[in-house]
Amino acid sequence: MLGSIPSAASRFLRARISVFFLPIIGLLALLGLAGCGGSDSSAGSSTPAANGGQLSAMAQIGEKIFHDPSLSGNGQMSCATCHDAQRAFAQANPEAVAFGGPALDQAGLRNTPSLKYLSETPAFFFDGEGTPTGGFNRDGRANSLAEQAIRPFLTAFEMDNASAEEVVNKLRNASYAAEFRKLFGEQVFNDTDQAFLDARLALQAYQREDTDFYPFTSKYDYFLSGKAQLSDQELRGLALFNNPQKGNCAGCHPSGRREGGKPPLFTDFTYDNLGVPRNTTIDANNDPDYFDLGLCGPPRLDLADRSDLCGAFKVPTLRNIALTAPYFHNGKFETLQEVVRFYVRRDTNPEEWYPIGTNGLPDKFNDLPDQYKGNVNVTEVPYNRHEGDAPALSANEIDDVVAFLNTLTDGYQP
Amino acid sequence: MSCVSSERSALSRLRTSFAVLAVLSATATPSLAAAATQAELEAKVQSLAEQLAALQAELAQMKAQQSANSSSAPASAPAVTSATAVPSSGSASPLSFFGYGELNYSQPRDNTADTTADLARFVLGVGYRFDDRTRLVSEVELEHAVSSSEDPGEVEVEQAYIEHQLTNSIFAKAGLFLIPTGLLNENHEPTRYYGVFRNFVETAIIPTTWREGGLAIQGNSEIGLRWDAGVSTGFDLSKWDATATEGLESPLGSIHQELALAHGKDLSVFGALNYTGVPGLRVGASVFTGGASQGQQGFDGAHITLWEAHTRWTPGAFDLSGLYAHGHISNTQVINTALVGNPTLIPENFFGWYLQGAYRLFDHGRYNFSPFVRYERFNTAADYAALPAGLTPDTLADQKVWTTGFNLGFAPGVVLKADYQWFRDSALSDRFDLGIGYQF
Amino acid sequence: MNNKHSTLLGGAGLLAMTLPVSVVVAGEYLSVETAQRAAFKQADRFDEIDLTLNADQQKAILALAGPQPPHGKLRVWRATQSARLLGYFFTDEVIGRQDLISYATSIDAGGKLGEVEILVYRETHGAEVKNRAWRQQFAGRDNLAQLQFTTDIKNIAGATLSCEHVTQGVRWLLALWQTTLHGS
Repeated sequence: MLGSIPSAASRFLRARISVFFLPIIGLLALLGLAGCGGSDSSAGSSTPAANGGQLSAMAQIGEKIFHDPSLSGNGQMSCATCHDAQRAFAQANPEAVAFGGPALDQAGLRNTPSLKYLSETPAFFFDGEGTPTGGFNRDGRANSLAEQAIRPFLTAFEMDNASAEEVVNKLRNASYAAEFRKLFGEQVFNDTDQAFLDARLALQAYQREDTDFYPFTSKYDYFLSGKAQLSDQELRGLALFNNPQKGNCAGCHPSGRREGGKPPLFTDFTYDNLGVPRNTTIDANNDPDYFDLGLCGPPRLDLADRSDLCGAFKVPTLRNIALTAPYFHNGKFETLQEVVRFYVRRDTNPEEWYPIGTNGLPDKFNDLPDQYKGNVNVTEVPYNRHEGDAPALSANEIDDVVAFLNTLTDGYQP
Repeated sequence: MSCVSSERSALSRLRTSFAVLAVLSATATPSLAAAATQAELEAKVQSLAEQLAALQAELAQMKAQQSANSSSAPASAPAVTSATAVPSSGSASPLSFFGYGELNYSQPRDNTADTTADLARFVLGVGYRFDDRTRLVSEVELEHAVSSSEDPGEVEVEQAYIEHQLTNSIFAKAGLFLIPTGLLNENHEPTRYYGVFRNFVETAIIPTTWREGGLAIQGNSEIGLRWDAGVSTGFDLSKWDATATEGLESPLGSIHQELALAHGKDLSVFGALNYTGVPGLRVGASVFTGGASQGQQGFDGAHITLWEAHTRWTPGAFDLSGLYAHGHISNTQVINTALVGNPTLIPENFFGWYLQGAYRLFDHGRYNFSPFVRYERFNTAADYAALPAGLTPDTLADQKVWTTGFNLGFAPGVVLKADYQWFRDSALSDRFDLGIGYQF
Repeated sequence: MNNKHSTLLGGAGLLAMTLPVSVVVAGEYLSVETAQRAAFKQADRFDEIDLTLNADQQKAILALAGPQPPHGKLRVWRATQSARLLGYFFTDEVIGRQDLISYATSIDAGGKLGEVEILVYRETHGAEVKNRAWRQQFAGRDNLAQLQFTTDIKNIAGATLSCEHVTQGVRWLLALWQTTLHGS
């Protein structure tokens, strides 16, 4: 009868709640939740394929295949021949390219890339802005590690198998053939394509599961997790590496932790056209009409009509870069000093890098046919300078950057 | 004009009769003298008792009638319809809608090619009353009109919390709610502030509209003291993007979690006190503090604290306000060392303050006009922790902004605004702004 | 009965009117009865009146009172002492931010406002409208020109809508009294 005024009884009760104690007690209890978390950090983190210690059966077979020379034409080459574990699974020989074929004397076309830190590479795609991203090989033409493994088995100047069938026949006689059958089925060798695929899947599993391929034990990793200090020079080098107005290396080779606190991979999986000078020590370059054009091929075929992409090669990881000389797709530079100098002095002092042409001027971007020279990246720091400009990094600064790059080698003892 | 409710008069008669009986029983002492008067009294008592019985019966009957009626709308309440312009909502429906919106136009003087017109905010809110003590408050916001992967807009839930009234003066909240801080954060509608854009101190330093998820308690006392306390999610320093400029524009705005799959390992606590006991004066302060590492590698020990103090005073037609806010992030040295060289490292201290004065020059009926002037001074990177090898970043100079303009209200809840802003030591160009805002 | 008895009876009768109403004052909602008695201490009767306004009356009130928020239920009582009119007592509801605020006030026979009491306030937003000092601004005023929001009746920053709407409601009640109740 008094409208919306609450009943006398409930009013009475509410007065009796000790309203001043309730929020304080509650708050104190909840404050216990608001403690800081301190976490124990350790270098190295798990990538999607991480395995505690023991490799799966498939990965163990993959490891055997990786190291099995009997799977080559001449019985002397395995994956490990060109992907040397002591050299970050890149090539051990100092020449620009690796050698294969029946007599192990046929030159390849490109410097052997490192197999480390590849497992998070996405399949090739064009992102929202049309930027080519991902893919395996220096031109991204394989979409997975399993796919990438096809080429070396079947290329004449590599492992030199005539066909997949030949590889499968060799597998049939391998020391681990019984394990292979046990895992993939007793009749597996009867189906050539299936067996070849299974072998490559095993290789993929090995590369994904074995932490040898992604240990994250560089000095930089320990620095990121607070277990090591960088020297002043290395720190200056990191600052120049990150500074978008100086080295701007982090523009393509990100150095910061990834989402979820994962350590950096030092590549954004995109492509760049640097106009690296032609390497005349590569046999294929003896033919003046031969140009290795990267994304637009050959040997890549599907982007042949994308002339704007001619000359662009994959941004590789910089981890273990100190171990993987010579550098760039054509192994043109033998020291990191030269590489960093090239980045900052390519345009300010082209005569240091390119042969002098018939007109007395340096033949810039001489590893590209004339119609594609315009594709070279001249807009991003540090190679956006012009002749006569001061280079983005001084000589001391170049040394600093190289000192930093040397901290990216796995196997550091903190 | 007046009519007497029969129910009421029956009650009062009944009460009178009870009273009589009570008094009679108290005074019926043996000290009454003559037997003759005693017989008289007995007779009177008898007749009163009969009347009482009759009234009791009547009352019982009316009570029965009333309980039959009480389930429907409250009894003899006259509905006063207060004219067509003001619809009566009667006993309010449990569902309520509210919202606000802001449109603005901004022309920078140095680069008119950057002139922008924008539907800055379009906000819809829903309230629902579950029972007389519990309600939902929720608010959804769309910024910049079109939200998609290719468009600049963003859709976000700004508030979604359950409010429960514990006592007449104490409320509890649980959910996503606004942090009680500053002058603008809880009252951020366009009709509540002067100028086309919210002031910089309360966007760059205090990241209005700043909301967190958690539990909060608010109390109000009649003497005018309001207190708030709570526990909520906090910031995530790993969201700091050293390669972008967002952190320079608003350090906390770039790392707030907005309860979007927020890390809850490190919670924060906050408290606020506001005094409004003197009409026209508000004085208050607040603090918010908590861990920001969220257990992530490389951010150990990071802790963020934001405190502020504010006042608002309205003598006569004046509307004067002032605010000071200061933020501190601890343990940035280690984090910044790993990020060294990037353009935007994490500052250790950032702060801002402003003074504002407005004058209600005209206020009649539906129109009101208030010119204002405001001076702000703030620095989103006032201080960096020292880094080795001489790599400590340079601090910024304090940015200074003068704003002057007016708010013109022409209907309740609608305001037209215009202002001009001068910037010193800032990347922004002086600019002329126009805006329209509404709130319902 | 002699005079002594009738005085006793009258006094006891008044006393007995307190019996059905239980009140817990500090920190609890004010009941209508308590607010009534606080407004008119000498009143012996509160008679609720049935208020119906025709269109002209409504227009006249609005013209005086100014813009109004959404209103809820209005109730009006005549407060009398021994049949002499002391004044009017009102309970009204206005929208706060989203919920209705139930408040009460009074206007004495001379047209002066009494204190404004908040009877029911159900949301955190604008709860400061319950501040005693803010509510006391209304008491004693009898002229709508003295009830201008923000200048005469100060706002509480952070409770603007609630303060504004209660102010508008009180203005409406005073306008109602001035146009319609006064002299009846």
